[in-house]
Amino acid sequence: MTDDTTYGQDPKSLANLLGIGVRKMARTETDRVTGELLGAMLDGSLSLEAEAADHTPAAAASPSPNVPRLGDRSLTSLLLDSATDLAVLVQIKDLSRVLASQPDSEAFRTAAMTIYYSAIAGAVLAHRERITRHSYRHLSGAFGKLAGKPWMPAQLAEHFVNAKAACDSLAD
Amino acid sequence: MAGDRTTMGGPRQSFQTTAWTQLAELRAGGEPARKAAIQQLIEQYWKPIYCYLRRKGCDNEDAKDLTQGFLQDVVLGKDLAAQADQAKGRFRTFLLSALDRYVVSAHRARTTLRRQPKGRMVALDAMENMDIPGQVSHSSPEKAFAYAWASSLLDQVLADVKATCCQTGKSVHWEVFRLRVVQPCLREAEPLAMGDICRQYGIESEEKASNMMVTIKRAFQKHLRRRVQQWVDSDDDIDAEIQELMQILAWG
Repeated sequence: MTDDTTYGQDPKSLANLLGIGVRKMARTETDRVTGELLGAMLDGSLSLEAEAADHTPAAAASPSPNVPRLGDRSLTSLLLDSATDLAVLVQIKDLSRVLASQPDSEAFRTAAMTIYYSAIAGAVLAHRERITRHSYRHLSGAFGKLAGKPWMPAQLAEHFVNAKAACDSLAD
Repeated sequence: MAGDRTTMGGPRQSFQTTAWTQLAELRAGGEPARKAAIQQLIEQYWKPIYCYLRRKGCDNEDAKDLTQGFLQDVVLGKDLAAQADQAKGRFRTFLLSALDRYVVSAHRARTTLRRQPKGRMVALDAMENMDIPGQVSHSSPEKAFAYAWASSLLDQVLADVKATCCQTGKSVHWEVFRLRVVQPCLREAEPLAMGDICRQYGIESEEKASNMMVTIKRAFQKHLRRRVQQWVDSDDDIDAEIQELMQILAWG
């Protein structure tokens, strides 16, 4: 597209393109974009590591050798695979927590927060470990709410439902 | 406007430089910084200035001369930098006000409009084939200014995004975004079917292609916001500036 110029195009067309940059959206639009961003994060198109580096370049410039890299696997496979190393889940949780706390769009922060909780859910399901200070009771509530979100992919919704059940049993 | 194609866009990595900083560099910076600031200011702002002057009633030649005069005398001179010290708010509005004052004073003084660059200004060769687009030819001067402003902004952002995609091995991502978002937006055409795009670029599924598109939409959003951030006081004003531009452009 950069071989062309937008100069000479219809003003409304330019307005439409500018609209992509606006962060404040209607609720239904936010839900739709949340689902899109979450899907891109889960399949690896939208890299958590790259996004985190973009937000905190100083941290990305000197990564700790102890920090595992997420590699080429999609987040979906890492989160749902019971063989995923606990350290990897912690890394996913930490990266997504950084992103969820940035002054970004609500849709992006919600998608990042969903990844955050899905990593915690993965640790509970695969390792019976709680990698957060949140109580099992709190996690059960959070997982239950997330499972019912309209933009939640079916696989991840099931993941949260299973994790909620595990938290309920561990909280007893 | 095929003859108006331009490679303008300025350095891609200068996201943190605000327009106010550029003006400060003009006044206080060393020669290299000053030259870089001049180049950026000219590349970014000459089209809106020209369009505004055309819609103010200037013919093509007068508009080109006044554009050069404004850039030479006001933007590159001390006036704008001095005024910027006191200014708050959006740079677009600030620049337009300064331009208005310049046009009034130029007419009042009945200065000779045929000006020659005095050696410190970059020649505006791109202006030679410049004309005002048909869509803007009956709009107000302010709308013409906003139109050219938005067009220059989008050209820069699209170039930024494409360059980033190429640098990060996401050329196919860029193509999906271009075919599904940019072209339909600008050409007012139906987007190419995702299945066709998948076959063309060897993408394994439509879902994957959709996620690639979302990824570059996000990159576009970030680049656009960083560019706009140059002209506003705070991050909170970015949405307001974009939405105001959208409202102005809605006349089309």
